[in-house]
Amino acid sequence: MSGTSAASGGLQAALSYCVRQVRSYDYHHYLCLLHLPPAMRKAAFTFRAFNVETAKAMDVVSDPKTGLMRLLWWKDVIDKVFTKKLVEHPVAQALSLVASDKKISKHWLKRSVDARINDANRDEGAIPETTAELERYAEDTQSTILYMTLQAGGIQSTIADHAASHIGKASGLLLLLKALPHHVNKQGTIPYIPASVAEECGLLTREGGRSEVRMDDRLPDAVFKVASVAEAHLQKARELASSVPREAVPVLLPASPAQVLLDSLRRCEFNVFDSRLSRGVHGVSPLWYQVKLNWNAWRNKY
Amino acid sequence: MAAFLARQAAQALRARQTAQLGPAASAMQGHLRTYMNAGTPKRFKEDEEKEQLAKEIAKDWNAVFERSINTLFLTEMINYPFEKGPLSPRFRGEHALRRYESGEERCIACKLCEAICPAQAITIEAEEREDGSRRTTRYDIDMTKCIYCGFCQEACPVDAIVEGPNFEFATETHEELLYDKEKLLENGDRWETEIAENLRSESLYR
Repeated sequence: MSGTSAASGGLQAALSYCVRQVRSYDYHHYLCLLHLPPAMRKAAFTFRAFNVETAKAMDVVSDPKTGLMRLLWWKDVIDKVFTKKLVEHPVAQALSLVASDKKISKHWLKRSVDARINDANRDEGAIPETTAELERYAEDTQSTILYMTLQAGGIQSTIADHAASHIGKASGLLLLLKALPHHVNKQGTIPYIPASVAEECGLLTREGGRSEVRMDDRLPDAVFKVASVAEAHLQKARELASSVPREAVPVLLPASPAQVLLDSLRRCEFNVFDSRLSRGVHGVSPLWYQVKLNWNAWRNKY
Repeated sequence: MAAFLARQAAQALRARQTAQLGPAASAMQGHLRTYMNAGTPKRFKEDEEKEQLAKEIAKDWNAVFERSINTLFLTEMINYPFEKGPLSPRFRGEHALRRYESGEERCIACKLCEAICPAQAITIEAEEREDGSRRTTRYDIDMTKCIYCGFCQEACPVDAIVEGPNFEFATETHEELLYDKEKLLENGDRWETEIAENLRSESLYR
């Protein structure tokens, strides 16, 4: 008896750990998740916490190989969770709880980790060739979270999945744009502007098989091009809004932070190094952000 | 031996003094000589070089004096054991093993830190508990081998082993610096607030 109570206490602790992680690392999504019905919250927070753990793997290390080691460890964890083996990590415990409660496909989790592993495996300084490649990365890392949340909520709708795919791509692309100053600080090169876009803006230097994005005053043009792709995705997702089932709308709320970030980028004229972007939540005051989010949630739109 | 060293030092000092005085004196002579016979260009050049050198040395000594005065009287000094200078949140000091808020140890004995440690300072032994979870039975760090590179912290997938902000752990014997699991966990308990604050990050980047 005491064993079971200890175990449930452990699960409670694991879930609250997940919530805390999401709150401290991914505040704008934390606020979105609060609008979910309680039945889906547990799963949603777990998936977001999993995303936090895998996303920060490459940023807490000085050598990419070490980050890769962490990501491979998480890949192992997924296997263990689905073979009902105990992994002593709160996020893994929460995952196994959610996996036993609800039906989640393992391949979404796998896909997100694999995308991150591929990204970590790129040669140093290598950049994605096309926007499509970047979009695929965004979908694998961000849309999969929405797919899994929809699945955990028992919502089976192709239209909702379709909208989720567009929203995930948009928020993934915008996240990479916003993080550009961080990556430039860390590596000294611009890693997440595709070569095709850079070439159009005249920012690409090819040096014997390697290509690099130059930093000069045309960078905002390239940022604008990628942001336009993200905006197109948001538009497409909005067009589907009328046919998305009602209960799926709260899951798709992450479209609002994406829109807020897009607007902030526009205000800074797509200069990602503008200090206004790092203030508040996505460059707007937290209160204003909450108002917008609640307004969207109340109107049942995204 | 000591006497010999002392003599050497005295000689060196004397040599330096003559070097200091020498050029200045000869520079004066040089001036006179240039007025008197400007016809020997080679001599003139040599003298000018000497003069230049003399000036430089004088300037250097002035600069050195000024700088030492500045550091002594004008910079902010801290009263060390009672006051402490600022530390970066990424400072890598004494190691600690952290716990979850429930009090459970974080370390799951995956041995990644042991594998990545370039100084091979970490030794881990592990066994399974009755409930199937893996825990360490021994976690030793030889703090005299450790090079404080922070790789163990980077490799740890559960953020268990960290290098905390403590840098005041000098001991009198070598044995005291061979840390075991109890000592590391105790460090973790003592420094948890600071460690958690330092590890906190603001957002995701990919």
